[in-house]
Amino acid sequence: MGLFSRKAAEPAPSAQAKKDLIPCSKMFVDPPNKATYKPPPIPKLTPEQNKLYQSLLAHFADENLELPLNSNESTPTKPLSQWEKFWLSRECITRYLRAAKWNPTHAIKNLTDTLVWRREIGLTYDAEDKNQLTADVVAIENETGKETILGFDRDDRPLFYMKNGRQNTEPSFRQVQHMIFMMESAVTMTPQGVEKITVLVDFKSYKEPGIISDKAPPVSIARACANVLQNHYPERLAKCAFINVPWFAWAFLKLMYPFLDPATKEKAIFDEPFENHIDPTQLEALYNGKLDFKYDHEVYWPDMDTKLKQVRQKEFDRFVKFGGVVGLSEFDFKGDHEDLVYPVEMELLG
Amino acid sequence: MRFIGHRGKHQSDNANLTLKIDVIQAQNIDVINKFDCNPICFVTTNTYYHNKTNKLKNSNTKWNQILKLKLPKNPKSEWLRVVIYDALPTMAPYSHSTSATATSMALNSPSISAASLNTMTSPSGSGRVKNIYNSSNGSPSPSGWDSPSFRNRYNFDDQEELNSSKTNNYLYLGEVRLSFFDIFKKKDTTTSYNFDVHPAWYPVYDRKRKTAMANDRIGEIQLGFKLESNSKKIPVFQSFNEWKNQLENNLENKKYMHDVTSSQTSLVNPKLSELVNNDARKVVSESDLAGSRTDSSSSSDVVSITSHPDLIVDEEDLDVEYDILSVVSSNNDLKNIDDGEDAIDLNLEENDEITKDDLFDIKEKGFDLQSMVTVLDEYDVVTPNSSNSATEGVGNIYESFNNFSEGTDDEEMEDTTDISFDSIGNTLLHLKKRTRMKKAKRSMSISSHHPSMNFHISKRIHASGVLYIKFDNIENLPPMKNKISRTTYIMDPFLITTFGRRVFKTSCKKHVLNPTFNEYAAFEVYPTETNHGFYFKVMDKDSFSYNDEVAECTLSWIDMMKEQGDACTWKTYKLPLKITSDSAPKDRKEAVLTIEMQFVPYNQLKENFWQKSVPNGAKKETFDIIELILFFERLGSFTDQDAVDFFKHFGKVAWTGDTITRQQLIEGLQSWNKSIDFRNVWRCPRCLKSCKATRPSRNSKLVLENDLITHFAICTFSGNHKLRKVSYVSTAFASKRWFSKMLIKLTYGNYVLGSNNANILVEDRDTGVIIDEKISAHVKLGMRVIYNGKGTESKKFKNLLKTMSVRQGKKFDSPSSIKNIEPFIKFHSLDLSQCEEVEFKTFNEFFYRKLKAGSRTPEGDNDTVLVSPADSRCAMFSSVHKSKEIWVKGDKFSISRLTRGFHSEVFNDKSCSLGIFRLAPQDYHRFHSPCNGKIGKPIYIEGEYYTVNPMAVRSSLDVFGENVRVIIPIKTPQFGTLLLIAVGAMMVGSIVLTLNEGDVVKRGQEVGYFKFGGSTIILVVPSKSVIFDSDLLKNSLEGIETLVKVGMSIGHSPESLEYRRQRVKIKNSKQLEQIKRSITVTEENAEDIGNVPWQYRALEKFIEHDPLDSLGTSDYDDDEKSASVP
Repeated sequence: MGLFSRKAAEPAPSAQAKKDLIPCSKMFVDPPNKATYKPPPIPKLTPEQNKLYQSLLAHFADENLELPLNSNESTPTKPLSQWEKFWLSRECITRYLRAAKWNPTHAIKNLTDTLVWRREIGLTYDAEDKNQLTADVVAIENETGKETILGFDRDDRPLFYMKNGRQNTEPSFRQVQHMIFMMESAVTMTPQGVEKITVLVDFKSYKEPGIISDKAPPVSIARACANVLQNHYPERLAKCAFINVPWFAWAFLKLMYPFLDPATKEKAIFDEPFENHIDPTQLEALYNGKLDFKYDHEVYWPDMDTKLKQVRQKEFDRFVKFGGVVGLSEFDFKGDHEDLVYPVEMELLG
Repeated sequence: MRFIGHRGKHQSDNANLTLKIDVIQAQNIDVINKFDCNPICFVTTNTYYHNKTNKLKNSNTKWNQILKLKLPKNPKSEWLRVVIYDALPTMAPYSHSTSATATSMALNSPSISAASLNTMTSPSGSGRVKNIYNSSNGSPSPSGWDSPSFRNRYNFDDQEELNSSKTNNYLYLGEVRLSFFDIFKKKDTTTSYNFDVHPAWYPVYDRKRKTAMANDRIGEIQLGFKLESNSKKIPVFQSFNEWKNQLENNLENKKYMHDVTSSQTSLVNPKLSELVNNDARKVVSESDLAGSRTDSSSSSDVVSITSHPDLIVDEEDLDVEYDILSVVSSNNDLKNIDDGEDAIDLNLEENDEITKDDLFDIKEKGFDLQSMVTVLDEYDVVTPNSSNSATEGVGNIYESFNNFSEGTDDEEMEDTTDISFDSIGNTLLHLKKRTRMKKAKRSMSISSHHPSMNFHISKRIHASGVLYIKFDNIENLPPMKNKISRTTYIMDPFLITTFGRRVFKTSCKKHVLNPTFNEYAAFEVYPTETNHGFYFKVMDKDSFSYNDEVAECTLSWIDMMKEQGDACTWKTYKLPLKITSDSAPKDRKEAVLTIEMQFVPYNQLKENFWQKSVPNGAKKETFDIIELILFFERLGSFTDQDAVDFFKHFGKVAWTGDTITRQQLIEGLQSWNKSIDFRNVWRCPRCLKSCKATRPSRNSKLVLENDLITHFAICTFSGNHKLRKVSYVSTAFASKRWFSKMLIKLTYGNYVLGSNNANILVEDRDTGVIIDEKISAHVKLGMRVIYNGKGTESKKFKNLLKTMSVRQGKKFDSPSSIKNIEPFIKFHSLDLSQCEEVEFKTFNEFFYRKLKAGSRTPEGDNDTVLVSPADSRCAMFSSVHKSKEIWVKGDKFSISRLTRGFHSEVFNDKSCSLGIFRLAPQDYHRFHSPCNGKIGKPIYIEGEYYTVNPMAVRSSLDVFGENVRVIIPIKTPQFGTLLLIAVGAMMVGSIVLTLNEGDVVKRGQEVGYFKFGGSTIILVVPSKSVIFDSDLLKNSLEGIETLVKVGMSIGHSPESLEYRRQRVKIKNSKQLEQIKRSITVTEENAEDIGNVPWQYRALEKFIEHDPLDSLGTSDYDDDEKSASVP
C-alpha cells in the first residue's frame, strides 16, 4: 500500500512438510538439470568489437609480456604463468572489454591490474608461490558458515550466500581475503556457458555460539570488498538479492530505487519472492526453499575445497590439452566434449 | 469610454517588438574543435536586453534554440550581438583575476608568468596582459593554440564580459555583430523589409583579443531571425518603422551605417593600434625583466618585480592604456557603449589603486621572508590552484603588514598577523558584497578589481594554544566565623577561577583551612584573549545564607607566560591571596594558592598531533590494509586507494597482507600531504567527535585543523584527568547558591551568553572582563508596561511615558533638582575626577557634564579610523540582517524605518552596517563625531519613548523605529556619508545638538548631548566603506555588548588596517570593581528597594493607582519628594 510497506508476506510455508525437504550439507557441483543441460553458445561480437578483442588478445598472447609481482613500483617482473594464461580466457577478455565499455586501453589496464592483483593476493595457483590464498588460510572465517555456495538459480548461475548475521570475527584483512576466496570459488563453480553468479545477502541476525556480531560489516570493509568485486570480478554479478533487510535499509533502498541506473536496478532484488529466480529445490529452506541445509564446517568446508580443486584442475587440464594458450574459451574447459569448439583464432562475428 | 480609448492609444504607442533568433549551430571555431568546450550563446542588444542558449557539452555547438529578445522601446544602438562563450567548469566562485593569476602561475613560459606576476602586483593586469599576448606571440599561430597556455590566455580577456551566473565563468570566444537595419533589409530594395530571415551562416569574429589584426574571423554561426510584434492591430512593418525612426533619431549624429562585414574591420583606426602596440612593447620589456628572474623562488619574484624602475614603467603604462580605452569609448561607436564605460571605470579604479599598491610593494622589501614561513603554513590561501598559494600568501602577508614598521621582532609579527588577517577577511567579505551590488545595478556586470580580490585568505582565528590548569591547594586560609552558630572557625572553601568568559568552579572541600583540590581544567586560548588575566576567588560555601567571599588574587597572562618559558611543561605558581573577608582575623600567616599551569602553543599541538592521536585511535602495533582503512575511516574522508598508497610509500604491498608498524604510521601521517593539512581529517580519533567546518566556512575552503587539534588536546587530557567544565557565565553567578541560581533562572531565563533574556552581559573592552549588567527595577517595570499593554490602554501608557519624560526632563532643568546629584553619584559610584567642572546648577547640567579636554582622545593616528561616538555599550553588525538575527529582534526594524526613508538608495538594509551604542544613566552623556566630516541637515523625528534596554531591543518591539530620534548625516571623505542617529529613550527629555548644519567636525569632536536618561546612538555606515573592529563584531555575534569610550576605535575604512589594541591588565581588585561599577550598579544598590531612582516610584505609584484616572489628572508633582533618589 504505502511507499515503504513490503509486499504482503507469502503464505507461511506450513504446507511444506518437513518430509518434503531435501537434506543436504555439501556444495553442489552441477546444476540441477545436468542431464538435459544445453549450454548457451558464446555470444557473438560485432566486427568492431572483434577487432578490439583481437588487439587485446595480441597484447596478452605476447610471449614477452612481463608483469610485476605486485602493485608496487620497482618490483621484479615475471612472464605470465600457465595458470594466468588459463585465466586469460576468451570470455575473460571480453568481460573486461564489456566492463570497460569497449575501450581497449582501459580494458588492458584493468586486466593488467587484475593480473598483478591476483599475484599480490595469491590467486596464481602456482605451486612455487608461497603466498597462496588457500582454503586453509581463511577456514577460520567460515566456521559459522557466514558465506556459502549452494545451489543454482533458474539460469544455472551458482548461488553465493552472504549472511552478515553470522559474523564470527573482528573486521580484519582475513575477512576480505575470505570474501575474495569465496568469490573466486563461486566463479569457479559456474557451469559451462555461464559467466555470472547470483549473490544472496541475508541481513538476519543469528544467535548461535561463535557468532560475535550480527551487524553489517563496517562501511570501509564493505567498500573495500565492493571495490575488489568491481575491479577484479567485472561482469560477474548477475543478481544481488537482499533478504531480511532492516527497515532503515529498506526505506533507503525504496527511496533510491527510482533513481538507480536501470542496469543496476535489474540486478538488485529486494521485494520479489525468490521463487521467480530460484527453483525451490535449489534454495535453502530458510528462504522458503526445499533444501534442508545445515552448515557444518567440518563437513562443508573440506568437501568444498576438494570439489573446487577438482573442478579447477579438470578445467586446467583441458586447457593444457587444448593448447594452453591465452584466449582459449571457458566453454571448452568447462565442457566434457573432446574437440575444441572455439579455437583461439576463431572469429566470432555476429 | 474615453478611458478605454486612451488606453488603446497608449498601447499602440508601445507596441513591443520581439525578435526571435534561431540559433542553430556554429562551425569552424578552432577553440571549440580543439578543446572540450561547453559552448553557450548569448544574444544581446542595447546592453540590457539579452538572452542565452543552453550550455552544451563536449564541444557540441548545435544549439537549435529559438531565443526571444524583446527590443527596447527606446533603442540606443542598432547593433545586435551574438556572442559565443565557453562556459568554464563551475568552481568555487572566485574573481576572474584570481583565476587568471592562478592558472598562469603554473606555466613556465617566462612571459606568461611575468604577466601573471604583474596581475598580482598591480591590479591593472587584465588590460595589459591582453596586450602582452598580442605582441609577444604575434598572432597566435595554430600551433600555439595547442599549448595549455592558450586557454588560460582567454581567461584574461573576458573580465569585462557578461557574467550572468554566479558560479559559471564564461570564456569569450567570438561574436557576430549585426545591425538591425541590415538584418531585415531585402537585398534589392532599400525600403522593403523581410521580417522572417531564413537561417544563414554569419562569420564570427573575435573582437576582444585581436583588434589590431586584420583577420580575426574565427568561425561561422548559423542564425535565423524573425521579428514579431505583440500588438495584433499594428503590422510588424509599421511598428518596426516606428522603432527604426526612434533609433535613427537616437543615432542622429552618428553616421556609422556600415554593412555587416565592413563594420568588423574598419573600426580600429591606425593611430589606436599603434598606441596599443607601443604599449604592448613596454609591457613586454617589463615582462622580460621579470621573466629573467623566474628561476628563483616564487616568493623572491614578488620582491624582485617591485624594484623601482619597473614600477615607473607600470604607471606610465597604465596611463597610456587608460588613454587608449578612453579613445576607444569616445570614438568607437561600434563598441558597445557600456563596455567602454566599464573599461574606463575599471581603469579609473586601477589608477586610484596603483599608488597604494606601489606603497605595499616598497614596504615589502623590508621584511625577512624567512620569518614569514612559519606563519605561512598556518594560513590557507584559497586559490583555484593550490600550487601557487605560497606566493600569494606572501603577497598577502606583505599587504597586511604595510602599516607596521619594519623593526618588529618575530614574536610581534606573529601577533600582528592574527589581527590583520582578520581584517583582510573582513575586507573580502565586504568586497564580495560590493560586487554583488554592482551586478544588481548593471546587467552587464564586471568583476571588481580591488587589489584584495586577487587573494582569498580564509582562516578562522584559531586558538593560539591550549592551557591546562591544575588547582593544587590553598594554604593558610583564615578561620571564619560561622554566621549561624558563631562557634566554629572552620570553613568550606571552594575556588572560582575566571579567565575572560571562562569560569571554573572547583568542588567544595568541607571543614578545612588548607584545602587540597587536585582538580583540572583545560581550555583553548584565542589570540584576542591573551591580554586577559586570571582572577581567582576563594569562597566559603554556606548552606543557608550567602556564600561568603574569603580571598582573591589575580594573575595576568603575561606574568603567567613569563613563568612558562618555551618548555611547555607544568609550572607551579604560588599566588598570595588577598583576604577580603572582614571577619577574618588580621594577624594570620599569608594564605597561598598553589596552582600548576601548562600552556601548549598551537604549533606544538599540531606537531605532536599524530604522535599522540595514533596510539589513541588505534591500539594495535601493526596495521594491515584493512586496519588502516578502518583507522582512516575513523579520522575522516579517505579512499581505499589512499590506504594502498600509504602502503606503497613504505614499500609494502597492501594486498599480500603486509603490515606497517605504528611508528611508520605516525611518520607517514606527519609527512603525508593528505594528512598534513588536515583537510581530510575531521574527526577526533579519541572521542570520534566530528570537528567539521562550521557554517560560515562553507563558502571558503577553511582549514579544519584548528578545531580538531585543540579539541584533541583537551579531549586526551580529559581522558586522564577529570576536568572541571566551564559551566558558569560570570564569577558572580558561579558564587551563587543553588537556590539563587534557580530563582534567576525562573525570573530572568537561562543564564547564558547572548541569549535573549534579561541578563545583559557586557564586556569591558580594555580588560576583557565580562560582567552582567543588572537591570534596575524601573526598567523592568517600564518594559512590563509596554509588553502587557494592549489596545487603547497601551496607547495611554505610551502617552504617559511621553509626558512623564518631558515633565521629568523639565524638572531636572530646575535648580531644585540639584539635590538629586549627590545620591545619583553615590548610587552609581561615579568618579567625577575627569569632569571639567564639578559645580552644577541643575541635575541635567550634571547629567550632560563635560569631561576635561584630553580625557577622550581619538585612537589611531589617521582619519581612516572610525571612533566610538559615545561612552556606551556597543553592538556592531556588518549587516542589518546579522543584527536582526542576533540583536534587534523587532520584526519591522529596517534602516529605512529608522531613517524614515532618508536617502534610501544609500541607506537601506542591504548596503549598510550598523553600530548600536547604548548609554546607561551613569555614562557620560555627550556624543561625539566618529570621524572628520561636515554635518548635514539634522532631521528630527517624533516618536515614542520606549526603553532601549537590550531586553526591549531584543523583543519584537521596533524600539529604534518608533522612538523619538534625531538623524545627523555626516559627510566624510573616508566613509562617504554616514548617519549618526541619536535615539531618545525612556525618560529622555530631549536631544540637544551643539553643532549646526554645515559645520565641519573633527574626529572626536562633540556633536550633542542627551538630557536625563539612558539612550542610544545608532551609527549607520554604508558597508562598503567601513570595516568594524573584529573584537566588537565577535562579541556582538555572541550577543555580548562591549563597553567602549568616546574615541576608541570601532572600525576603519577598507583600505586601512585595524587599530591595534593593547589590553589593559587588571592589577588589582579595585580596578575590577571600577569596571564593574562603570557597567552596572552594585549588587547591593540594585537589590535594595529603597535605592531605586525616581522613575520606579513614579511608575509604581501609577500602577497602584487606577491608571486611567491618573492620566488626566496630574498628581505628579506630589511625587516630587519621593521620586528623587533618597
